[in-house]
Amino acid sequence: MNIDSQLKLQAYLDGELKAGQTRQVAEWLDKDPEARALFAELQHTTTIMTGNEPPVKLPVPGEFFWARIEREITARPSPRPRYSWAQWWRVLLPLGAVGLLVALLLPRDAAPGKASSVATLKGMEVETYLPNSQVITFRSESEGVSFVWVDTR
Amino acid sequence: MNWGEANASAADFKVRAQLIWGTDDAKPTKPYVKELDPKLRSKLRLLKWRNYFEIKDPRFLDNQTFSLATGVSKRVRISELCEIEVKHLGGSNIEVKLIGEGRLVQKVSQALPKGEYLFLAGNVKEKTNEAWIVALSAIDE
Amino acid sequence: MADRASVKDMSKESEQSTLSDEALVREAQGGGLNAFEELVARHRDKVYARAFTMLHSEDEAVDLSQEAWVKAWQRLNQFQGDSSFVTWITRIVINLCLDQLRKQKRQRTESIEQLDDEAGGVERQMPIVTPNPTERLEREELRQRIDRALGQLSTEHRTVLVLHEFEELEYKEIAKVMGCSIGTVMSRLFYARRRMASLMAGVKREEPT
Repeated sequence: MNIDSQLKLQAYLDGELKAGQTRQVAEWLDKDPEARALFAELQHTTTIMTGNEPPVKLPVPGEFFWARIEREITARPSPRPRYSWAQWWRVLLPLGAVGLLVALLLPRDAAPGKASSVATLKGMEVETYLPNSQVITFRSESEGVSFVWVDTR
Repeated sequence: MNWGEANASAADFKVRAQLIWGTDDAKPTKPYVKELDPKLRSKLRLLKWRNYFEIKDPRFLDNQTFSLATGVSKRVRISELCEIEVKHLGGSNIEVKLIGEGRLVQKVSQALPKGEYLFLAGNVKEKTNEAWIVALSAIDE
Repeated sequence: MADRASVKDMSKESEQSTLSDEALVREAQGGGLNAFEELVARHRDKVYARAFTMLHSEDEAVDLSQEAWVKAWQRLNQFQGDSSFVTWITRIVINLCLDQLRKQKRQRTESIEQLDDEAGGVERQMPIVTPNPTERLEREELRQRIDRALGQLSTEHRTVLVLHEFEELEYKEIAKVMGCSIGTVMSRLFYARRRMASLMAGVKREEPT
């Protein structure tokens, strides 16, 4: 049996033959046991696969999966507004209650792959590699905490 | 992944890294979202969010604490998308690299005495009021 | 990095979960990100599964399925409803997977696998595997066998088989998607089926019952 005949047999199985050819192949199958065996093998493979696609589930939590999609589709190509000191409200509570707070605003944008290297609070050094991001650092001595806040909005 | 070469010893600097979620919403029912320890919670009271939860994904819990000899760094995954690489610079000084989705996002050098916290944080998305926070602290052996 | 399950407006979420895909698409076409998020939640497994079945790499499948959703958002206004939304997004991820496979193929040197693919390889000389009608596998076991066997096929054979048997595309549709002739599709499908039959039979021998 040559390859053309084999492919014709397969096309018959898949319903891809024209009416005249369908009849020819059906007659051939009646007469040729080798053709019948090959047809049975092809048909068996199709039968066991149909409706038995291996169940595959996303291996990461849906929330993480969506977070990256959302980040991509909400990315803004236009230049982002500079921060001002007054925009600290986005992150911090009113400062009166927390005692000494030293902070520095770093309104720099890093080029992709390059660091915007910035010396910041006493004893702290921050480099950011995210383009179109803003970094704010702040520290409370009384609380013993230092924050590095990166804002990509 | 570089896990450092040196074995832990009494002289090593031991670090804990925790992933925290700040939000104004109520606690979700997800099993890996836990109430935050009150002591740590109090350290975050500078921030404006109403609630803070610790993300304790069982896949990454083993990475929460690790020891570093001076000059040695360790890179650990703390969430699906986020890794940190911490290097002990000597004394209480550390260098922390924040790596998001395989890309270096930030490098911070800072003293981290015992009892203090260094928080690396940022917004989750543009429209909702959420924050991710990586809390680093030096802990006793 | 954070869990987003509770940050959604619950009433909005509940309302959207009852909407049809078509209604969600209309809302998303008007800029409704929440509606699009609901579409992602509904169909992310299916889209990922298609990518994984074609690539057999979890990391690549996650990346490409996310890329497919981003592309879907960007092209949402081109969706006219000629097919179902899930068919449309599945086509997007299939195209991305094919691009990826082409890139990989360009990068690797001509391999035995490629030669086999063009010439039909050992499948051409393969004895016919007689189906055993008495063999009745549990569905789960059967699916595992299929998964393992698919993983052993060349990317070209796996792709054509996935598109034909799982996506139920006709020859001409597969040829269009894969950018090849109908004859190539027929040939690849034939050898893929024969190889699959052989691999499935092989699995049976390795796991005596």
